[in-house]
Amino acid sequence: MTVVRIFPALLAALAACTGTSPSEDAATDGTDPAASTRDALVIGIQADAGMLMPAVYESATDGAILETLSYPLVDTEFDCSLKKMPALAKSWEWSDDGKVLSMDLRDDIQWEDGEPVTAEDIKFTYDLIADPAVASPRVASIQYLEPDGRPKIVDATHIEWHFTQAYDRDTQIAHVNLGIVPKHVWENVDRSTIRGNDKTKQPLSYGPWRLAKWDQGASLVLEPNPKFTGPEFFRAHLNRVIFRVLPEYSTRLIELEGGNIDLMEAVLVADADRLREEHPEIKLTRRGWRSNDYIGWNLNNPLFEDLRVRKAMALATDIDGMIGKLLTSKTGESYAKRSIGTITPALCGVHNDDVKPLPFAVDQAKALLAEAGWKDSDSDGVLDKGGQKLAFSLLTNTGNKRRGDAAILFQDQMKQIGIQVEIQRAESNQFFERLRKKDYEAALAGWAAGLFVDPSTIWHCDQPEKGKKYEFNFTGYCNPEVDALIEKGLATPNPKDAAPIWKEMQAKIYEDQPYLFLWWMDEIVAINDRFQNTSIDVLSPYNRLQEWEVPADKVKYQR
Amino acid sequence: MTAIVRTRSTAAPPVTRAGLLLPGLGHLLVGEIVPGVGMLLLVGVLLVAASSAPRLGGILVDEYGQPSLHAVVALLAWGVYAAGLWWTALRRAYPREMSDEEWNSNRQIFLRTLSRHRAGMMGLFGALFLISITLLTPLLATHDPLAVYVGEKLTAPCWDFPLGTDEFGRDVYSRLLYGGRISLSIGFVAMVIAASIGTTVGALAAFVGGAVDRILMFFVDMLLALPRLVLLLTIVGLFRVSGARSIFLIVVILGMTAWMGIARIVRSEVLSLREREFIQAARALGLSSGRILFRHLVPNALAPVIVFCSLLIGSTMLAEAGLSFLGLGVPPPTPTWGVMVNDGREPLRAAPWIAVFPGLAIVGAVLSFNLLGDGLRDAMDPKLRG
Amino acid sequence: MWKYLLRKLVLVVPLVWSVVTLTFILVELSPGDISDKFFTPETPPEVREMIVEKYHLDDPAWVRYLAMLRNLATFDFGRSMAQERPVFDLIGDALPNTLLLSIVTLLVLYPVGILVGTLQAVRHNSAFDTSASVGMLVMFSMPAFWLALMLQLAAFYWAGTLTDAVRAGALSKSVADLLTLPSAGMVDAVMYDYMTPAEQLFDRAKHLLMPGVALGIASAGSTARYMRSAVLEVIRQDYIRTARAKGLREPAVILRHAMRNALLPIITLLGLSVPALFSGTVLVEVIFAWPGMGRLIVDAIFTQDTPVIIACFYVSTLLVAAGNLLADVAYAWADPRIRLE
Repeated sequence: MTVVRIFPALLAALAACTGTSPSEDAATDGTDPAASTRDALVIGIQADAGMLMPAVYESATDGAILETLSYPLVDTEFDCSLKKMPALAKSWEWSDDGKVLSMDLRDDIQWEDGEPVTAEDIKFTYDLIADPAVASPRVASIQYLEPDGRPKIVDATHIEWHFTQAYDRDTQIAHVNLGIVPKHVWENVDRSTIRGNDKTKQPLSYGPWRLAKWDQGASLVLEPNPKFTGPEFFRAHLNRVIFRVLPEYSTRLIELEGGNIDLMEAVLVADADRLREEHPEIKLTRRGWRSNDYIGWNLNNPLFEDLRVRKAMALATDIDGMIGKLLTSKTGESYAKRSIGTITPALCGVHNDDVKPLPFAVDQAKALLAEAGWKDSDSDGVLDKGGQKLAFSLLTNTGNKRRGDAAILFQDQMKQIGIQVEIQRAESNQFFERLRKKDYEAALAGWAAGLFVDPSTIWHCDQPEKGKKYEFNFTGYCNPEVDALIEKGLATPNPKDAAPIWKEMQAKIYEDQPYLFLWWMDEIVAINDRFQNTSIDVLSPYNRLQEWEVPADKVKYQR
Repeated sequence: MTAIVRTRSTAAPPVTRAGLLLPGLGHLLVGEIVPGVGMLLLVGVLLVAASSAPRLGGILVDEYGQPSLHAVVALLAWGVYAAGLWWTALRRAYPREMSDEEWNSNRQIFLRTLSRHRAGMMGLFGALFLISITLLTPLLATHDPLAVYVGEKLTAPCWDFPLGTDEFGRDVYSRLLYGGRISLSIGFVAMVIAASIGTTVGALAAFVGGAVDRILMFFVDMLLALPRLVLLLTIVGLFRVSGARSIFLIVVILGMTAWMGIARIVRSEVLSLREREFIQAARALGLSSGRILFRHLVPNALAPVIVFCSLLIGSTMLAEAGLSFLGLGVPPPTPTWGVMVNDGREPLRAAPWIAVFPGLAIVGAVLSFNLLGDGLRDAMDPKLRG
Repeated sequence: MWKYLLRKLVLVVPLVWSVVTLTFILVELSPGDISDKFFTPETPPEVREMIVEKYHLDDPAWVRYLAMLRNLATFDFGRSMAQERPVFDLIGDALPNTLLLSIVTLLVLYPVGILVGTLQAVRHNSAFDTSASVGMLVMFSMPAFWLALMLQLAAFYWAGTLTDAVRAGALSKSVADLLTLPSAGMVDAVMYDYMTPAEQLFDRAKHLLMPGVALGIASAGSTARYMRSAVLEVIRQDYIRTARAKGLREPAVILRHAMRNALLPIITLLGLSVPALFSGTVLVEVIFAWPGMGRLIVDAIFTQDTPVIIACFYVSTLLVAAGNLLADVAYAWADPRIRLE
């Protein structure tokens, strides 16, 4: 064994005659029980991180990386609902009216540079978010906090959050549990230039990992934070985590199959079977129901005013068939389920399982259309009524292959009941612009799942005087009953009490068919199976990274 | 000159008469490999097309039951090709008597030089082959190029789907044929646009001269300094051309970013022609400037333009492919070769054939036009004659 | 000579100005702006308004145009609206990578083109000439992005073959590692920091290989074509006949006289190929994950990041002008007959 340890390169050269497996010369370090960290995890990402600064970051990658650099107030895990464990906050409790949340903080956590993490830092974070000069994307989190969206410091280790109203407690926790900004670093920075400040590229860690190196546009390296003073079980086990920026999907896949990256998100269904077959070393995991697709009808358009028409189109669309074609692998494994609303099935207590999606029934659809007065009077294959043809354009965004494919399938199916659909594509920015201005007839779009229920932005009646929050009601849907339910649900603190209200709302909206609800999708994450204790969940594809580890006999990279 | 005289024999080798039965065969037998193989390929296309004649009835109408122009064009093209092939074979078997004057005319010298230019002939037959295929597409395609799930998705090449199917279960072979038709049309139309703009600008600059010349040429230099693909991307990307009109807009934009080379060539040609005797004579006769410019100067400057245009079709097809590759080209489901390579990008590992075949088609097409351009240039270049 | 250069330099100013103006007009005419990026349910509307205010998106176009000209004159490119970093820094990060890729490509592939072209001309009309002609044209006719995909695929299968060979014991692992071609990135992101300088250099060279070939193969093809016709032309000149008549051996004639004179037009070609190379990087860099200008500008176009788009055009125009100027100087230096006046 000594020979192996001293001359691994020599051994590798000799191996030409004897033959060796890669794991043999990889086992050299495994004999050392003192080594607490080992191996590197290489993650292929599509776009580089941007700003690693909790108050202003924008992309999901930024958020996920920042999470690894932090020791949150409340440690969370997601399984149907949010599980909350004490972390930086040793304990917390609500006042009886649900409007005050007081927290007891640990005093032994410090920043990478040795400064302690205090209640002052937390307050400073909310100062920044509340400051309009910062233009923080997090301001939704402070809308119910008072005074002025900031917490109250009781003393160095006690902090109180005052809410203007009681609401869902998980959401309240989420609102106070943002990443913390080091006050001593940012205090003197001009707030309107925070985004462009170079310090957003040098984040200060107070968690299990620290940023070791960042080649912008190419790679980003995390290493265990030696100054981390949190509990032992929260310490990082791996030696390094390397994010490689690989914009092209096929490049990422080739690198994954070649063993040059260990983890990749958003694997296509078309590749899933093959990966499983050809690469026993790659494990495929699902992140459940993270996003949906739908076809929204512009309800201001007279064509879609009639519920019968909307319903007929839903009946004539073989959504299960589309799932089978677009989101099912050749071996029949399906990565999507039909959707009945905009609340993700991942929130299993809240999602209304009793609403049964409409069946695929072309005859019923035809009957409904006939009932609504649509006939093919000039027998050109397209239905018409009073001289107007039942024809419309379906807008979708470029760069999303699945939606483009779904649009084509939908077009095909509409043709069979005499509806003519023209597909229009717009670049993402313009796409949203047109949705916002309701400058479309029908649109194939999607929502990412929110883990906290707030349907008001999408379904609440469009009220321009109430601000721009309601601009996301793209269809112009307006149902006073639904509005009342939304308002009631939002004001209910206990998630268990709110659930029936949300269920009723989902049923009502589905009856109205403002969307043709298509499906919720699973995201496939591929990961090399030498990693253990991995938690790939709805929150993040690399959640709780500090717990990931590699058994000694499978270590690939010695550093 | 001796070489030319030696081959100018009036007696047809009897063996070439076999070419009347099968055009191409006769050429092969007298050792003209490139034209022979080229013609055989064209004949092959015709035969395959003819073998699908029983399906003709179904092809004459489109999916809405309307009469389809495609099939009419295809049938016409078929006729023209067949006639052309047999006429060439006939000419080969029974050469025409020629007077010395005719034999030494520019036209005959050009045709002779081109027909001896092996690479140029390869290009000519390649281009003809592609054009004939695209014209006969409705007869050659085995499936509707837009029909989804005519087969399992991502089927590897097999008997039913000679080039496999894409992510959508569409037949790659049929899409390749229809895509070629669109890609080639884009190349041609954009080339015509570029040639018109370039010729006009170049001729104007040279003929008017002075400040107009300087301004126009400055503009040409500026556009030449811009990376074309980046410029195209910016225009198409920023304006996010979408919908049914987008294909026309893309063609126009492609044409409008490609005329600068032609403008330069025409300008220098016209500049050198301007002082020649026949123009001086036209001036002396009191012809109007416009007439002199467009009836006398431009036609005489066209030879190098034609060469350049041949190269331009190729480079335009490449540019279109590049745009489509970034998702900014012709919108789906319309296939072009660039769109098809783009479609094959994500399933590159799962189904390499989706990207490989249209890419090869692009290489073949661009190569043909470039070879043809080479041949034309050499045949037109007086320095290489005799 | 200096006067000539100065005049050329002065001409660069209107060139750059017109390019920048054209770009500005294009961006201005296009619908939408950067603030659209902030249009998500998670982003409060105030943020969008802040952005509009911060970048003066509401100002009239001519005000922004003048401000932009003033800033560009002092090489102040402003801030990227999408990345919030100074554009100067973004270009500072990206440009060296692109230059590395294109210059190394030029240095390796141009000589190949020149060599092949010369050989073709020397063996004019031989089978080698015809096949090389067609071969070079094939290279010239290949879409760079498609070639990039194919190379990547080939490298992947090659790596698979090597792994199998190692498993079968036919090859040692270190040799296999040596032969494996990386399919993306500029360096081995995992192990680069732990390599010796020599290994690092080798690693860099390996990573340059495939993007370089995909990017430069078309240029090599066209260089060979030009070189062939240039040498053919020169060979017919009287001084070559004289050289031959003097009894110089053929290689000496070709090397000393023909090639040297034929190289002159190639120098100009080098200057002219800068825009084409720039176009090529756009697609190749995306596929090979090369963090250069091409990726920068594609991202900028997709996010409507006006300052970055304009700065990229600005820089590329300067590069083209520099390339042309360099070609002029090289031309004058190489050809004693030319005195730049």
